[in-house]
Amino acid sequence: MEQNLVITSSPHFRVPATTSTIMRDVLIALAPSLVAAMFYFGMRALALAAVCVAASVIFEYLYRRLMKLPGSVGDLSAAVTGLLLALNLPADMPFFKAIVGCFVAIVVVKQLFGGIGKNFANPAIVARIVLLVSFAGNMTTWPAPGGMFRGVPDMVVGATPLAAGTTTPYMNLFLGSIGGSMGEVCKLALLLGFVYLLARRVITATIPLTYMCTVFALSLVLGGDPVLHLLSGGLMIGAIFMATDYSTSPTTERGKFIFALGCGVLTVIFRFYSNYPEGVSFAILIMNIVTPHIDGLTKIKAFGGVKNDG
Amino acid sequence: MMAKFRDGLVGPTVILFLFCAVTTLVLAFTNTATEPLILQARQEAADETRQQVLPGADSFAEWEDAESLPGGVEAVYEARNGTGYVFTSAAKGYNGAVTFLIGVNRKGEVTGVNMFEDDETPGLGARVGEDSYKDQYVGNTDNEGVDKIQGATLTSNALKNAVGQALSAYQVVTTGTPAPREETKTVSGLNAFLIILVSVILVDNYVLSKFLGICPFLGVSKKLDSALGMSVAVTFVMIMATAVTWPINNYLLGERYAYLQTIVFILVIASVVQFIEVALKKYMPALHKALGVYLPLITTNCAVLGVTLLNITESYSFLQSIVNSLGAGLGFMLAMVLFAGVRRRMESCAPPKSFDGIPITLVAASILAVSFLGFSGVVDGLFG
Repeated sequence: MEQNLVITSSPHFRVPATTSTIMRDVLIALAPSLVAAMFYFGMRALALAAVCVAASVIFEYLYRRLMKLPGSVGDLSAAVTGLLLALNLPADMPFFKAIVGCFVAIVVVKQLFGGIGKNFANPAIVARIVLLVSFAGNMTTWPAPGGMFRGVPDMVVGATPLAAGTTTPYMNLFLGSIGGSMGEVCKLALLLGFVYLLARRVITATIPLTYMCTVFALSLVLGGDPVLHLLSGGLMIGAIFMATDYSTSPTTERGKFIFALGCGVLTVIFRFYSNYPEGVSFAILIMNIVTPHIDGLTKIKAFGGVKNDG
Repeated sequence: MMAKFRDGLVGPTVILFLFCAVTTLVLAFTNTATEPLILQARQEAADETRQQVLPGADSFAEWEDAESLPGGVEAVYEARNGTGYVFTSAAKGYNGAVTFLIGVNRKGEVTGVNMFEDDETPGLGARVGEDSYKDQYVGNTDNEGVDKIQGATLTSNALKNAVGQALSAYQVVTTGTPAPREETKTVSGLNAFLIILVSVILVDNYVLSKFLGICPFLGVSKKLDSALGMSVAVTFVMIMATAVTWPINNYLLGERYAYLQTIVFILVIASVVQFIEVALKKYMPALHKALGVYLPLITTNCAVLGVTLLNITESYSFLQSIVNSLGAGLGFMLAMVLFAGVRRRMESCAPPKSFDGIPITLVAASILAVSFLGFSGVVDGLFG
């Protein structure tokens, strides 16, 4: 087994090896997106990611310490949350606002409910929404992609291709030379991470594929450009990394299908009809909330078991 | 209560009558004493805000021929000393219409701009309301040449359009030629009902957006079946209460006695619910068994009183009020059902001792409320 190979930062508490290996795999799967973010948005992207990861880990450590609970930094889930949140922010997000987001994610959404596995909502998603609502200005102006060695991005674009309504070449959308949150722009990097997670059997393909197909089909039906909708905004990072979170998505494959279908439908509704140009985070959060009901309806009954009336 | 009732009809009637008479007298007295003062203060405050955009003006007279004004211009006030005009001009911003007060002097130059209602992107759309930005229009005779604010394009546009509307309204009031009538899109029939339903369920959800009915929301959402029972009872009571209070308000109270609304509504709703409960107990025991326990709990619930009062504020017709009440109830049900799942999930959560119970439930409820923010604007998007 790999247990002995897992390296944890101090304090050294015993943690379930499975959680930390899974989280390590997620971190590895996110690495291409981080590299792409650096490539397009410069060192500021790396700095923001470092700040978010550090803040999340420190909040997790402090909370567990202050509450006299066994430490859980070693399971790497706080690091994953921090990195995911960073990748969901514009690269020029002020650090202190990003740290507020980390506090919401780690302390309010996750630890207050009892820590990993006990939270009903995805911490990074809620943090992103809270930041979007609180700092709409920062969260809806994205730096234009530029060179890797540029300092603070100088040019600012007003909206992502979704909001702008102009046509962007599909190749730009796919490779990521567009405005957007720093981790969501490069679809190639996200798909690399997806393949890695599938190969490592960290996630199954049900949620990401159902989610993306639903958005593709429904935007086609409603007269949008399905390829644009598939390749823009936070759809891929959401479908691959956020909607597949274990503790906030259904357990059975059938449940996962329903969950992802709901995410897709809501995303398209929000994108087409709401005030916000993007709806992935709201859609996933709402489906997080519906998840207990989906679980209740798709529960596999134990053989010979008595009907559970919940 | 029931025991007293059996003692006779006169006793309780007299007691309740006395209560009502005293309360109403006190209210009526306070109202007569304060009404002129309130009106005067309001008038002065309104004049003062208008003077801010039209310096030098003394008092204002409202332009009466509102029909001839171009679309978006809600009112025009002419300065009595002839300094100019103040226009109330509304244009579509980020989150619905934004209303601006725009002053224009005799020469047709903009003298000042003020943002009236501020629901825009906090810290950004609101920047449009800052003096340094909106004062760029001062001295202009058209609405050109002012840059948009990055990230607040829609609000900047709203201001630009509002100034444009005000200036064309200026032409109307100075030349006397009415603005060309645009085809105003009137929402008719079924669509109007659908708009009310969708917005009250998803966008302005009573629990998640207006924070009404929090007490039953927290109290009875632990189990799905009781959550459903409570929601049905709430919906039922909301519709009944509206059916009774709407005619009372529109045919009995009217504008004149609007100050009696709250007290009359509370009394009427409470009696209606009690009456229904007694009637159900006698004639429909099965339904009473299903709803009975919840009925007294929500007799004077703020969500029920809220829906009846808001129906009046929105000046809904009787049918629209009923639809709005139905939607408010269904929205309550949606929130309850969703939250019941969360509550079940939370049975296994381990909050710190200080957060156990209601505090952590409120944190969870806030996350649920945040998720519904995604629906903002959906009504305009779907039907607009």
